[in-house]
Amino acid sequence: MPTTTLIITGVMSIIQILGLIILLVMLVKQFKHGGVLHGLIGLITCGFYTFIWGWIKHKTFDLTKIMIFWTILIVSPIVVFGVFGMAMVNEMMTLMTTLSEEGGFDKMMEGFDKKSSNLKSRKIKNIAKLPKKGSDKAPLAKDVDWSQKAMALWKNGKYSDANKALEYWNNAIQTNHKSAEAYNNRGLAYYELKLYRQAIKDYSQAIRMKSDYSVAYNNRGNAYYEMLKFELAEADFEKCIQLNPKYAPAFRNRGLVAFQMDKKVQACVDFNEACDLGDCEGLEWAKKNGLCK
Amino acid sequence: MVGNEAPPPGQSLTPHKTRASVSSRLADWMFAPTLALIMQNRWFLALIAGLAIVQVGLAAAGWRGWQCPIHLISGVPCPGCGLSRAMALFIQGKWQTAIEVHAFAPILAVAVGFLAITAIMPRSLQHQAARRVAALEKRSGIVSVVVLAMFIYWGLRLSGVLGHMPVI
Repeated sequence: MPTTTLIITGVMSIIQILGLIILLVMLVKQFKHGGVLHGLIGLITCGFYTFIWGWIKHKTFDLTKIMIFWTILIVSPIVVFGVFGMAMVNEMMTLMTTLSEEGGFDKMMEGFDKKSSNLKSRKIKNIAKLPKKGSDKAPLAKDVDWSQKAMALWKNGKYSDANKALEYWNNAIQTNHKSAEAYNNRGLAYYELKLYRQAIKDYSQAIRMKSDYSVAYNNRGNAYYEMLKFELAEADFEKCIQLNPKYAPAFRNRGLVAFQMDKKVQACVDFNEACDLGDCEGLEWAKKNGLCK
Repeated sequence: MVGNEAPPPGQSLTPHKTRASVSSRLADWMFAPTLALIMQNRWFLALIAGLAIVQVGLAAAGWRGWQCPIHLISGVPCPGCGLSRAMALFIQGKWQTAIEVHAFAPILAVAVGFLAITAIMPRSLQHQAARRVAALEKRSGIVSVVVLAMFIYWGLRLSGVLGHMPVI
């Protein structure tokens, strides 16, 4: 029996099993972070969409390692065949000659099946002995003021490095700094990274912890707006205005939503109100585009 | 000290012009803009369209491109198995065979074509297209309808109601 063929078959089986495991792990992550529809699309495209999604979002969800591993698994069959291809052809030629002289494929297949199954079970046992993921992870330094570090990144109405800000807020929340402000601020980092679903989760958590947190309502409205869910955005801006009637950005934002919903008169009223409170950006834009007089 | 002062909110929003339509918390995921969100990210769009074209091209040339890990290990085809080959056949004009291999090939071929065209559009036109698609998705839930229909079709094929599944 040709040894090269056996090696290739064994290696390929392991690659395929690992490929399936990684696909399932990635699908779970896609359902969790991307939403049900993205997960289902990943499933119906045999993981093709999941693979691309994984690379696009690898920095945000810390998927770099798993994606590199998955890519290696996808590319490795080409390498395996490249390295062993010629040797396999030579061995197969020798085998065919031998078989035609000695007769029968049955003996060959028996031996092949035994060796192949032994190889698979050995590898699976080795995988089972691997230590649990994350067991060697260093604990977070509790004396570091992660929130202050994150706040230092907030410049000119946004984070200078949203990825870092997200990391710092994650650390802050993990080290028991679980306040409504922390969730709201982490939501802003998600917002900048265009991860609106996660941002909404954090803003909602902030609202649950502090029901009169007007700013969180406004921020959640912004995230809904970016997701083109105008009705939900409008409701949040309204709630924000109700809690804080002097908050100009909420009027401007509600004006924009009204404009999207073809409520032009309401949009102008809101832009004017925002301008009276000191935020004339919306009104200027509306005038420039002939929406308001 | 956490969030001593929350960063000021109220980011400046870029106005989009899209008609608002059906939205419900219960059916939230069904009517959530999905294709439109992909179309808003140029890289994402280019990668999906480009790699899908390569995949169909490989299938048309009789080569194997991306292989389904579920089918490779379990032997059970997933709902999208056979789509590349069916799309290749469809593009080659063998429509009947394409539909026999996978009935959703025409829909997916049109979708990939649309994404490919959008990927090479100027940014302003691309955003405009994304907004229109978002409005369509919000109104009709078209992506979730197609996805669910594919699952039903898959179930029917597995159960043998639609005859034997073609070898892929």
